[in-house]
Amino acid sequence: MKNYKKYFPFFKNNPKKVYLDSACMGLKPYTVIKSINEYYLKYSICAGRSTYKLSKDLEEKLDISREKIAKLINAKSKREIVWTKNTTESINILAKSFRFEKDKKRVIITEKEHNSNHCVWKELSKKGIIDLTILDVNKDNTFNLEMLEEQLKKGDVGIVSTVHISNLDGIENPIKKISELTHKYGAYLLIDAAQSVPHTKVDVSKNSIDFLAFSIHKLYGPTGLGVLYVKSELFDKLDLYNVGGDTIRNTFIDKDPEYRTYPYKYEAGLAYFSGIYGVSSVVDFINKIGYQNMEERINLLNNRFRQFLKQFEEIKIIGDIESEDKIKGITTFFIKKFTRFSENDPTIGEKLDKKYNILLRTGFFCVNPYFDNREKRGEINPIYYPAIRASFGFYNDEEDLEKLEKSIKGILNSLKGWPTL
Amino acid sequence: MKKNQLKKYLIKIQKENKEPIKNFNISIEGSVCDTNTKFKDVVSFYILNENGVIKEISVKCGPCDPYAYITSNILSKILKGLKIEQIRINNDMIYQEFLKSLDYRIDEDMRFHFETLLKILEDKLNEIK
Repeated sequence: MKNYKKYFPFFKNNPKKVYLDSACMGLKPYTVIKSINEYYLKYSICAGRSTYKLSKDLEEKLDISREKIAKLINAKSKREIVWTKNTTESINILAKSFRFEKDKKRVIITEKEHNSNHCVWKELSKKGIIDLTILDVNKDNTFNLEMLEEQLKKGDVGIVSTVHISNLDGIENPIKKISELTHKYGAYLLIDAAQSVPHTKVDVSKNSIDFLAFSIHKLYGPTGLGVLYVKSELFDKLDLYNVGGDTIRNTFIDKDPEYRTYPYKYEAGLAYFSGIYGVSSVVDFINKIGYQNMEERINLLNNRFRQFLKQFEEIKIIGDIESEDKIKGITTFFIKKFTRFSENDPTIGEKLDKKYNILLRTGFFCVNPYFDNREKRGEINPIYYPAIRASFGFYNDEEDLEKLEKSIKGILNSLKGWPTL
Repeated sequence: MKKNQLKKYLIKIQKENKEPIKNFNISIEGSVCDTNTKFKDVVSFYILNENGVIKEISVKCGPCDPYAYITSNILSKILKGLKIEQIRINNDMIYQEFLKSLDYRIDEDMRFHFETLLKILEDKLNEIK
C-alpha cells in the first residue's frame, strides 16, 4: 500500500497512534499548514478593502481558493460558493434565509440526520415558519425513496434536506434519485455533504443539487471554515442572514443599506483570510492524491474491517447492509456486552486509547434522534451503549487495520464469559 | 462485589424477555450517578398501576453499568404485586428480598444502587399518590 502518512505531520508527532476519527476531523498535510502560515508570514493584512497592491494580490489569492472549491464540486461559477464557519452554519444560513412559499413550507429530513441538519429545522418548526416531517429510513438504514415520494406527492414540500454519506454508518444516500424526485414535485434539495466531499467526488451539477453544505476541516483543511453552495438562480430565494461589514455596497443615514451581490452579501464580517488562503492548497492536495485513490483505500480498509467484525456474535454493526459499495469509510458498532463494571472503570473509548493507541469515537455521533427512535422501537438495547465508530481516512493503512482488529479482539477476549445481552 | 457474582446473575437473566410492557400508566426515569459524566446509569421503570397495586412492571436500563442493570432487574421482580404505598426505602421486606436474590452477598456499590433506585421510585410514586 502506498504510504500517504508521510504527508501528515500528525503521524510523525504521534507515531504510535492509530487515527480512526476522520469523520470528525481530517488530518492536515504539511502543504496546507505551510500555506496557512504563508498568509501570516507574507500578508497578515486585509484583502480587498484597501487599495495597495499587497491587499489586491491577497484578494486574488482568496478568489483562487473560491474558484478551486467551485471546481472541486463542479459548480458552474465561483460565485455559487459562500464561505461559512462550518457545515452547521451553512445549513443554518440556508434554513433561516430561505423564503418559504405559504403553500410549500414543509421540510423533509430523515431520522438519520446529524444534529446540524436537525436542530435548525426543529427550531423553525417551533416558530411556525415551517412544518417538519422526519422520515424513518429503511430497517437496514438505507434511504426510503418510496416514503419520500409519498410525502412529496402532497405538494406542500419546500425543501428536502438530507445527508449524502451518513456520519453514523457510512451509508451513501442515492442523491441523484432523491434530487430527481424532489424536483419532480417542485421542491428544492439541500445536501449535507460533510462526510462525502472529503472522500469522494461530489458533483452538484450532475446531481442537480440546489444547496450543498460541507466543512473544510474534514477536508484536510483549517478548522473554522465551511462552504455553502447555492445554485446561482436560487440566490433570489434567499433573504439576508447576517449583515454588516463586507456585505454592503453603501449605507446611508436616512435610507436602507445597499447590499453587495451574492455570495458576498452572505459573508458578513472580516473573513477568515488565513483559512481561505489555505483552501487553495487543500484542493491541490486532493487533486494530487486523487479522489479515486482516496476512495479505494478507504473502502478497502472499511470493508475489510466490517468483514472482520461480522465473525463475532457479540458485535452488532449499525447499518449492516450487504452491498459494500454503498458504505463509505465509516463503521459503527455495538458490543452486546457490558464493557465496564463500575463507575471507575475506563470507558471503551478510553480503553482503546490507553491500551491500544486507537483513537476513535464513541457515543451518539450527533445523530441522537436516530438512537432515540430506534431505542423506542426496541431495535437498539441501550445496554449496548456507547456505540463505537471507526472512521477511516485515505492515510490509514493495513497496519492500522491490523492494530484496530487486534484491539477489538483484545477487548472481546477480556469480556469472555460475560453473557451477550 | 466480585465480578464473578455479577457475571453469574447476568447469565441467569440473559434469556429473560426484556420488552417493556406496553400498557403501562406510570413511567419513572431516574439516574443513579448524576455526577458521573461517563455513564449516567439511566433507568426507566414502566408500571401498570391498578387500584394502587403494581400489576405489571418492566424496566429499561441504559446506558448503565452491571450494578444498575442487576439492581433494576431485581427491583422490578420484587415490586410486582406490591401496593404502591409499600414502595418505601425503609421497607425492610424489599431489602431482604433484594439480598436474597444476590445470595446475601452485596457490596456498598450495590447497596448504593439499590437505595438510589428505590428512593427514585418512592419519590415519584408519592407524587402520583
